[in-house]
Amino acid sequence: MPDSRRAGTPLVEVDHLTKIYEPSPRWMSVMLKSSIREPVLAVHDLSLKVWPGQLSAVVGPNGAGKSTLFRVLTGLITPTSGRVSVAGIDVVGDARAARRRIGFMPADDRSLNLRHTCWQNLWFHGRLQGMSGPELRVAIDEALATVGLEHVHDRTGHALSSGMKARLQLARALLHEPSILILDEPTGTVDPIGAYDLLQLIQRLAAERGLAVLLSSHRLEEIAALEDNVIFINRGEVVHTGSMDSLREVMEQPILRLRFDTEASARAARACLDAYGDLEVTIDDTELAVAGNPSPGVVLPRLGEHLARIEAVDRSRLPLQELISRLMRAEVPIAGTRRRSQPPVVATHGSPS
Amino acid sequence: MSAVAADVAPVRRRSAGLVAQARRAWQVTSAFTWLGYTEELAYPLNFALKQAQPIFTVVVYYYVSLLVDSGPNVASDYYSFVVVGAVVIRMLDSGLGSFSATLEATVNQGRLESLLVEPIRWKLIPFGLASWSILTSAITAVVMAGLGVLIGVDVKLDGVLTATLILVLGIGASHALGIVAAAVKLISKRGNPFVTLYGMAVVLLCGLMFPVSSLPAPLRGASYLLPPTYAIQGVRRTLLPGGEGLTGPSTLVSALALGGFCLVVYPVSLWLYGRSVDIGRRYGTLAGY
Repeated sequence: MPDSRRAGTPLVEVDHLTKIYEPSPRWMSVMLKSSIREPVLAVHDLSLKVWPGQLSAVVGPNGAGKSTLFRVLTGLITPTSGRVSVAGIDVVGDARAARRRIGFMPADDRSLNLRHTCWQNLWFHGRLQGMSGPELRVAIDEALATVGLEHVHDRTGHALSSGMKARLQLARALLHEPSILILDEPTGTVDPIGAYDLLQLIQRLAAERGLAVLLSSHRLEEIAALEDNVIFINRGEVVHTGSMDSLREVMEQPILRLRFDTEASARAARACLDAYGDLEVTIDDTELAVAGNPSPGVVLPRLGEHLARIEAVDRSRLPLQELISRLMRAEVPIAGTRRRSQPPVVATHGSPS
Repeated sequence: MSAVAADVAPVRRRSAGLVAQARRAWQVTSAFTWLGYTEELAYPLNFALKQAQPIFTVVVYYYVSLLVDSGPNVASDYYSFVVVGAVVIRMLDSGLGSFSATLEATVNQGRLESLLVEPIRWKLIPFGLASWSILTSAITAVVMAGLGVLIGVDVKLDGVLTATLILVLGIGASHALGIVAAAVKLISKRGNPFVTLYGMAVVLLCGLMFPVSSLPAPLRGASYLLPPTYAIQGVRRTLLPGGEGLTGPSTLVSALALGGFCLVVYPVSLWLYGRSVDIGRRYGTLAGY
């Protein structure tokens, strides 16, 4: 996002957050068997900021630490170390005040009361938010209109489609006019078209209302759509933050491949390029590989008379799926991405609950 | 500002704060009561049967009482003795069982997490979730008492006020234990050993169907550790003709015991509940099941 929009204070600040789930003590195991036997590092030294009007997607495989991050932000779990604040309020010190500023949409649509109508679901939530009377009624009507559910306000949750349930959950998150939206896989159960529409709506709301939005997603098309604000986390650590282009620059390192008609032509062309001294060129039979992400517009003019001997030029980009997969599989620190420090304990999966 | 005004200002602020807190508690509790009401009425037959069952027992007790000789330890007659005990237990039980039962249902329905992220005091959640159940239990208990009177329960109307006071203290004590049960439930998730054991102890020891004096000395001693014993004893002594002759604690002792129990156990139970929440937040098990 443009720097000018970051002039204010970030609405979400996560500063060196670490969460280690410990096995429950023996006395507790009498009542409930612990699902872990050794400490599990769910989030390690994670820092991020989300600004007003910014929509950031947290992306990562299962067990990456997304849910733990969201639960810490909503005060459901306490961090092992680090500081987390929303709208300047420490979520550990004053969780209730912090929650008042947050609109939360859980991944599970069971959080709705499916026997209640859309209107009743919002009414109950509004009452818990401290709203009442005409203020609440107006807010409910507005929230339903915002998400396009005003025509089904009296329909029960059971009679709603998955897309409508997701919209109702979004309406519930928006009802009390929070400054921060935390959306845990908001489009998880929605069809691709519905998911696209919902994401568009969320993006529009973030921009219009100056909301700081943090959402988790597994959908590749969503990650692509959120170009500029993607936070990749893996094993509890941020492995890349920023635009997809910057990720491609770091991860993709495309090689320009030039195939010549003969090996002799290829050798001659290589000699021509080597003369410039700033390109790393290798040869394999009739093919030259120019490393370092060079632009064809820079390389090709340098070939002069050899240009006519080229049969094919290849500089294909990696599919998004492969790009993310490479990022998540990366075992060694990658230039430009965050260096993974040695975790204090083995991270195996996310929240034990 | 005068010195008097300066002294009064903080008091007013505190009062305003208390009023705001009470208003908020009412707002939250009434919303939960509405939630319970609408959910309950979604299954009308289940609701009707649930309410009818304790009322039905009042009739059963009548026929049982025909076979039981009334003696000095049951005041006027056995039927009045047992129905008063059943009504008191019905009132007290709702507080104890509802807190943990409704909490478990909410966890299993997957709705606890969305409640926990609301900006409400987490200590209000078990009260809120149980509010509808407590209300319906109270209404059922009143209907049981009314039906009992129609069938033949003999009560002294001049003892109603004192009996109500005893009952309120008993409900308070029962709620305090209910919060302990909710605290255990937050950790144990399923079942509740505390409620199960307590429920069994109440039926056996608190004098619901027979006088506590019938129990052997060690069990009798144990019965005086349980608040329902005092609530049942206190209400019987004040409501039943000849109740003042019942063996066991006097009405004043019963009231003091229940009051003391509330004073001691309420803060402890709230502390325990807070600790359970902290443990859940630490181990990440708060909204799990």
